Amino acid sequence: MISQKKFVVSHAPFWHNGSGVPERHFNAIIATAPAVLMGLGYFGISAVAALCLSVATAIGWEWLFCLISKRESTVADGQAILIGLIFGMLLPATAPWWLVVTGTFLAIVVGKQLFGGIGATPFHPAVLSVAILTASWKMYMDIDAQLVNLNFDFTPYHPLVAAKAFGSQAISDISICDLMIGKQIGGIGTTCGLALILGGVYLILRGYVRWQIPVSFIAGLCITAALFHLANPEKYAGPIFHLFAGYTLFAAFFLITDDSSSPVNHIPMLIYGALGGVITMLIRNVGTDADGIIFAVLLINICNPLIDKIRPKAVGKVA
Amino acid sequence: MTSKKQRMIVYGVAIHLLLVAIVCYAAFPVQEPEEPIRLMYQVDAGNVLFDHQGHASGTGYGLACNDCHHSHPEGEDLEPVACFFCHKAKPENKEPIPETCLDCHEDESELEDSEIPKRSDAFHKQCTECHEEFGKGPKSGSDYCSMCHVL
Repeated sequence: MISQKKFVVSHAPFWHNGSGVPERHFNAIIATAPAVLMGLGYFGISAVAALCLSVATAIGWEWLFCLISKRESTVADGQAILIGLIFGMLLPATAPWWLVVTGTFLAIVVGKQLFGGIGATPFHPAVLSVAILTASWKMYMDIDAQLVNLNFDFTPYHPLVAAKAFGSQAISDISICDLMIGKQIGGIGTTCGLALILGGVYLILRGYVRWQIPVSFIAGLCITAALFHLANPEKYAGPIFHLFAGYTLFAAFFLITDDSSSPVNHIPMLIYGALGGVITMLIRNVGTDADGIIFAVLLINICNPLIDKIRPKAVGKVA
Repeated sequence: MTSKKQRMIVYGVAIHLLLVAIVCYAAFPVQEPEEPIRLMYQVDAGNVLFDHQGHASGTGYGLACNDCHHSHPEGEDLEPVACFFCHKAKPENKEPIPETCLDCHEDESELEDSEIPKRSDAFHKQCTECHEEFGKGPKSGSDYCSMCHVL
């Protein structure tokens, strides 16, 4: 009997832009540069300390874990550097050293390695770490509380906390231009909207980030914010404010686009992003967390495997 | 897979960044300024962020120290002390100094009351009286807690 060979394929799609894993991470690091530089400019030497310590200890934890588990060191693939950088960018500038060291341990060891390492993380490691730290040491992750001893030439309170607690009136003197150029209280590398957009567009043009996720995230967030604002303009701030305040743009380009915790198919990417935007606004306007991004990202990370089951119809037919 | 040379470069970067971080943390710690810029009051009813500089500076409300801090008789050149120094969060929190106003004030006649009000009572009285006097800022009363407290 002649054996019948079948053409076996696994699930589509397949995507390769010609670059390797280290290039992806180092391009992401390059894309963060404008936002990092703006953040260092606004928050000063204490931000330099936190950011340098974050990257250095992230590399250190990665090296140590590989050493203990008797595997070849993976520090040179750049992911530990990127996770350390992203974690540092989310921190308040005056974060104490022990918080940074604990945070990078949680991100690299718990968030990344214990789940299986690169490509196997169901949650963005840096986001998971920030969520754990926020639940454990709330005051140390409270941007307003941490920056009380720094003097700024702009509104010295977190715009999203003010909007949530006191309504639209409280943020009436904060201009959108100020938010766009980073004149707002926030994480070290998350305040300058224009710099983040610049980095995000770079990643999209280079093909490292698929446009569907950030665009649908921003659309979902803006539409939901607009509906809340139309329902009660005094209580809920408008969509443009929410777009440029807090971690929004940082999440759109650097958090929800994480390779292993986001979908790979077109429709799921659109759903995933839009869901992230909607959940963020629900947390901001109905929930208790002022920013909401961290928990929204974790929630959509959980949904990712389910959403990504929506796949294109397979070519061919069942025999 | 990455080469040994690439790994060595990353280790080198990590060591340099660590040194920069240690120097920055050690040489430039975030100092609490002599006169506070902002204060975060951590309370169960919701934290309150108080803009001390905004109230005290000439470009803000321009209040004098004695408008809020306890005034002293003329001739006594005393720097205002932090509110927490005397006004403890709860009366049962026994701290060594001072337990009553008389620990510092020898003459009882210059005091309205020798009992130190607990922190929340002192702050509520201080803030609401001033805001009511000037008719500006957050309204007072149990319906307006969220005008100051971040709930």
